[in-house]
Amino acid sequence: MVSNEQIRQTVAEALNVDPESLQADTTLYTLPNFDSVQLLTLMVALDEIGVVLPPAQVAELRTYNDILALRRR
Amino acid sequence: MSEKRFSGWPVLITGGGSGIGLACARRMAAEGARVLLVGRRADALAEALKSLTGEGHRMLVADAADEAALLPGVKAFAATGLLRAAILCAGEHLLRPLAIAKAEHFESQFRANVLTAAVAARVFVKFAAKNGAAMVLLSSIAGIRGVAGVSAYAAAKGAVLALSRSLAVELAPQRIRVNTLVPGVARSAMSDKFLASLPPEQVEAVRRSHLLGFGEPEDVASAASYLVSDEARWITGAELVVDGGLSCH
Repeated sequence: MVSNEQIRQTVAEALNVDPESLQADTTLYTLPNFDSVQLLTLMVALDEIGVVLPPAQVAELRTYNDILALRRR
Repeated sequence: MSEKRFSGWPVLITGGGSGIGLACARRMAAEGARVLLVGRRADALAEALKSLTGEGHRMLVADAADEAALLPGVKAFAATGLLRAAILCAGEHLLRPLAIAKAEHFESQFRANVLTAAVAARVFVKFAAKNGAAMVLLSSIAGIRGVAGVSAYAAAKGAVLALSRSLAVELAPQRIRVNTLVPGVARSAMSDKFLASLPPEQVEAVRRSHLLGFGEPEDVASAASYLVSDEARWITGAELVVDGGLSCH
């Protein structure tokens, strides 16, 4: 099971942000330069550590917590 | 045009176990060619071989980037007749946005897409028919247009175009023509894997950008068969875009 900390580090690297800036209620679309390419980057990076975000549901992602919730489904 | 325009032609096809490579093999075999299928997966190659019409086809389990693995099998196949054509389709796609694309990803993409073509071309030339032969390389629309998220793949496919042009000049004195296909998305296991990784709205956008919709491997194979045929005898160093209208707008 991938830890939340691993996910935080992966998301931070993929989006080029400080891991500490990722809080549960952090809105992804307010992060610097967040766009469809960064969303794609996020999906591929998480997939690489075994966290698969179903493509059909990534449009639902709004906050950092949504990522954690989506992978638990 | 003769129905069997490749009757008796020995033809080398890399990446022949699936997708565009397999479609090319089927097309060439259906028009009379004897095909040497090269690929890394024995099970896929065996299935592919069984699906070919005609006789005299062979398979070679080898990494097309590994000359030592490729050479003996091609030599043995060419002992029954020098090669008239090669269609070099071995390759891999990689969705890897720059933020998470490491040097190893660029290296592996160059090996899978460029080195496979360069090494297979080297081996083909050793056993090519002296009175004229043709080679087709497989690039991608990503090699001529900017596509986000696939920089390593795009760089490699761009390099395939440069490789092809250079070889066209170098090999013309040996009467070997070299051309490149530039396909858009033709449905295959490789493209399906890529599309499955995209959100549905992005898949739809990619589909819409192909004015004629997604292609099939057979659409690319049809163009490949033309380029290796004698009907294309005055064409070398060319890039034929086969993309359902993707790049015209």
